[in-house]
Amino acid sequence: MKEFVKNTLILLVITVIAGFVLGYVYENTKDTIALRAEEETKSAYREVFADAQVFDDALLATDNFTSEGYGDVKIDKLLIASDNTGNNLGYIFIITSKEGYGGDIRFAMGVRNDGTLNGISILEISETAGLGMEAEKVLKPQFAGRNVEQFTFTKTGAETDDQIDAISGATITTRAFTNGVNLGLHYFSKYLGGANHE
Amino acid sequence: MNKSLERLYNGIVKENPTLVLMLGMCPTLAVTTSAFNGLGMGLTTLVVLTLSNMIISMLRKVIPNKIRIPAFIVIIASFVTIMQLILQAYMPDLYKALGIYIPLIVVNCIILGRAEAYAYKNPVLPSIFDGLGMGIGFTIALTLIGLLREFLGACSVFGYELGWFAPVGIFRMAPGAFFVLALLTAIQNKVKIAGEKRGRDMSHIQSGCAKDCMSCNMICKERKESFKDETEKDIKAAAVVTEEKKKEPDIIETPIESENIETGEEPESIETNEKTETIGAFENGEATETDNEVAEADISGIEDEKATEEPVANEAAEEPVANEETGEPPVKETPQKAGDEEVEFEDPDFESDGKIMISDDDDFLDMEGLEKMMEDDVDLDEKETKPSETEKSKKKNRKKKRKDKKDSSHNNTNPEGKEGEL
Repeated sequence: MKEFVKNTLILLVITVIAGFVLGYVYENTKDTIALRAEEETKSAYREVFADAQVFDDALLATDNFTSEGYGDVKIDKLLIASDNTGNNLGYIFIITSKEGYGGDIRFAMGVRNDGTLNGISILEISETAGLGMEAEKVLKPQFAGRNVEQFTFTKTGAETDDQIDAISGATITTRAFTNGVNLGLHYFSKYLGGANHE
Repeated sequence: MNKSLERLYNGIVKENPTLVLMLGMCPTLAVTTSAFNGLGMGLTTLVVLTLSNMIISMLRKVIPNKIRIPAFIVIIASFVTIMQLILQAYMPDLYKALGIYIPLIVVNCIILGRAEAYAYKNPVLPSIFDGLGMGIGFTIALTLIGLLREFLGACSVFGYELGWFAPVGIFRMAPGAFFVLALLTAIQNKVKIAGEKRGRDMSHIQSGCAKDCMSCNMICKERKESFKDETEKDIKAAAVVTEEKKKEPDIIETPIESENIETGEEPESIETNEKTETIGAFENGEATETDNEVAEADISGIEDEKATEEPVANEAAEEPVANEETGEPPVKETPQKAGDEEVEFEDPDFESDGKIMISDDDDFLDMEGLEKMMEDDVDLDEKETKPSETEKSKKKNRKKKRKDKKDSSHNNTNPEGKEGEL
């Protein structure tokens, strides 16, 4: 019994000390971590909307996106991008797709008021190395600067503006991205007035 | 200082955790999709391993044996979380690449293995160098594997594209990890066979041995060495108890009624309780092959003393007991006990209800060999009728040596011994 109490106390002391050390490290790193996360999203915003300076949160008209027919994709956040003088230049969508191969795919996409897709910036991805992870290299440039209603992807080589070359024969990552972008474009035309907004 | 260098060399070359011992294969295969990831994982593990080895070595006299595992885990987990926060704050790219495998460092068998096998028993400085050596060895191995996979799978080196050939993409995926593992094993086999031809001891290659004999159930040379001390202690303890309790014939039964067979720590409680003492000796006996013999040595020790001190009175009674013990000791002893127990212990193979937890098969595979040994022992006992105290102890030593020899020879022929470990 005595040994039992002694062992418990020793373990308690070790655990409490470990707890304090952890708390100290957490306190000293949490600001940096938060700062980094913020910087990361800011740079993502700038990447998809280079000429905008101010990004304001906007309310989403709906939060039920599954009924739109784009699979398990949702818009996390909608931001209004404007320049220094307050002119509305377009919108930024933060989109999460749960249809990735190795977990959620999260990216930002910027849409100008005329319906041009400025580009996408990948925030979170954990796809297969050498396949889905090539999205940064293969898919991202394809979306940039296109002005189309909806994208489709193909394995046989894109011919028209609204076609996207799939990364490989395995299209899970490509589909997830295409659906995500399409949802953003769909929301843009349905709730934000589309290309005739101005 | 020499010892520190020896530790470094040991970790990097002689007992390289990945390349020689094949420890910690899970994170190894999962994160080595590129040389950078392998390097990052290796360095993170290196830091955690060194720091936890240091702290555990510092606290080795404070942490009681019974709660050492939770204490180790708390210490290791704290360092891992600290590393995770630091990586997240200052090296976000690496943090993203390593992902789930950072928290999994907590249960990396190399770290827990070194804590248990080295840091808990050795001074601070060698422990730090042990951690450094093992960490560097792990880092080198992971970087090499990552380099190979990245080169074949993406035709690049540390992210620098070479473009020499069309990459074999599968090497960056899970199957590729196994291809590389197969390659590694083939090289190990080659080295092992070449070394054995030249008569060197290559048993540590692919052994999966973290020198963590306390929580390992395998039977090997190292284990025997590390248990030698305890064995001697056990024999002495059993002898003392026998002297004190020799008039109670049922002490032999006591161990069979005990329940905590899976813990091998009982020798610790020698001072506290006489009964536990015997129990301890026999529990060990059931738990491992080596100790099984210890248990038997105890039994013959008991006979010895009985024969010595009450030769006439017990002569007749002694005979049947001795015969019984030529068979399987735990089984044959049961008839002296209550009826319901008898059924339970009738056949040791069916004792799957947690009474015998550890490597049943090994134990019972050995029974034939043990029987033979026991026969020899009993013969010896009967021939020497009245040995003096010194002779007795000498004989015990001799017997033990003989047993060790037999045991090791038996192990070599035992096919289960090494193969089960991979």
